[in-house]
Amino acid sequence: MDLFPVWLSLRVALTATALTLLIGIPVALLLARRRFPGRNVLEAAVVLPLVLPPTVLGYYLLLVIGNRGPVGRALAALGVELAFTWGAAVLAACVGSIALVIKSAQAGFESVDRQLEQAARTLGRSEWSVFWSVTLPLAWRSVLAGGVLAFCRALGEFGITLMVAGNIPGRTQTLPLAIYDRVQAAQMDEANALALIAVAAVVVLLFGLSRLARLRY
Amino acid sequence: MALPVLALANVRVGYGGADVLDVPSLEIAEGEVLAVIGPNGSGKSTLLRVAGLLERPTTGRVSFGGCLVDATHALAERRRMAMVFQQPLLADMTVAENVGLGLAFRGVGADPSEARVSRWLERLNIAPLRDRRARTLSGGEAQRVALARALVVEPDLLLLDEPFAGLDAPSREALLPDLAAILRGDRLTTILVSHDRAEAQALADRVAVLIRGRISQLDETARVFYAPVSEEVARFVGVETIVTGRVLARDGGVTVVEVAGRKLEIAARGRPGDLVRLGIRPEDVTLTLPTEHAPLSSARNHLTGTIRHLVPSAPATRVVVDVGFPLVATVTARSAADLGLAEGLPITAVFKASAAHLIGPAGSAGGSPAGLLDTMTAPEL
Repeated sequence: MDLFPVWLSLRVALTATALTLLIGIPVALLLARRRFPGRNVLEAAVVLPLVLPPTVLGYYLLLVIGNRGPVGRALAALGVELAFTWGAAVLAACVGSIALVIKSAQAGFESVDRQLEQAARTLGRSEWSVFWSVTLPLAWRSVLAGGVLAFCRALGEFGITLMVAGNIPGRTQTLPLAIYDRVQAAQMDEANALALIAVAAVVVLLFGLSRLARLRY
Repeated sequence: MALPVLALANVRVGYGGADVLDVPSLEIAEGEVLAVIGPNGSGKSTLLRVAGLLERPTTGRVSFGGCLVDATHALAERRRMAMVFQQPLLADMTVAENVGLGLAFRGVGADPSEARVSRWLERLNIAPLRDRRARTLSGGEAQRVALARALVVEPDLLLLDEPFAGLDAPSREALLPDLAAILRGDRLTTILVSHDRAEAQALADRVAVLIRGRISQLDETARVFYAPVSEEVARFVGVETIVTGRVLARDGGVTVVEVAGRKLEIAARGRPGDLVRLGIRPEDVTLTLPTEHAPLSSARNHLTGTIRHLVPSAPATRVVVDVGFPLVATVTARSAADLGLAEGLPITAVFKASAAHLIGPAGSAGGSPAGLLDTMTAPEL
């Protein structure tokens, strides 16, 4: 049995989770801590990928990163092609899952007692050091929980991926696409095996981490 | 005059529309203790966060040591300040380690830090606790650790946000004089935020009364308590009897004011014909039985009436006497028992002419507020 889709999906989901944490944590902090014009618009925009049909999201993404889209053309000028590569699958997974990181981390940051941060400031800590020594240690469970959810969502991403990365066996065919393919081809044994792997990966991750770190989702 | 340690100019803080704080000008001089008092939600803590460079005002300027500072880049300035909150907010480590935190963050070496920590543990009478874990301390002990942790950095400006509010009465009464001695002994420039006027009276050189985000009165402590500029301030600083009267005559140092048909003699100056508001603090009123004849003196008002309400509470019993208007007095529980006070009992209320204060002008007579307010002579302080 070809296990390429499993390794590709793990690689895509891990990369996407790292990226969503990197982008999502500052956005979550911004939403949790600052009042600024356009904050409501940003909050709504964050949730949008969760509620829009994945094919619609994928379609618009493709318009942007396709070889006639603005980003696609800019990348092409640099000699990089994104659409229909595994990079596009990472992008799809990021778009599909970043809301989970942001909402979870935002709730975590909001639950941190502001007085503790202020006490650290009045003791002479810099903003950077307040974040690393007070805010993040108190909110890390929520941030990690968001990361785990995002990873699982990325692993299962189907619709956006199909639109922007295609379903190229051996190149962009991720685990969920491969399962769909095997079912279409009536290869039920392989479909079963792949589906079991997907379920096992998610269950082990969710329950293992919730035992280890006492996470609440 | 020397530069103020901290100066606020045209500071406004608004959260979505309504201003929670509007302070055109506030300066704290070196070595003074300024108390900011006011009801809950009046903006006191916001004012302190702005002063402590923890929050940037919506508009306005904050200067520290004569230089404008922006709270978003104020690490250096903030390291010259220290702050204590209502909760001690100690880290889960030993008492000595907690007290050393501010020094460690400021890059003070281990040996000098050790010496300073020991000295401040001594000064706050917590030296025996030095190796205890912070979480095992009582509330009063923990707040002493929090104070030591702030004072050890020898700040140019000390900010206290309701530091006694979370303490039980015995802990508070033990800590208050200790802190007062340190603030006076070291001439520490301090802003104390409190809703408790007794703390302000015990610690402050000047008092600012903050009501709905605005400073209603800013003056020496005695003047705020004995010459409040408005009824709101008067009520907040503990003046319970507030009545309107008309000035009948002026005779020597005494002004005669008619209130609800009773003639009161007050030490403050007033123009005959003026309508005035009078305030009397309950602790300035004493009660005697009408039968025993107190020696009459022109400096005392004797008003006989009946007791309408009797509210026993520690340490004093609050008595409302109907003398044509409700006059509030506080007496010790012992005197209440000795006098046999009961609702409906006829009683004579006595207060000195100097105990009745004018609270700005009232009515249409248009007396000059400055002239009226200028007459205050702080009694028995």
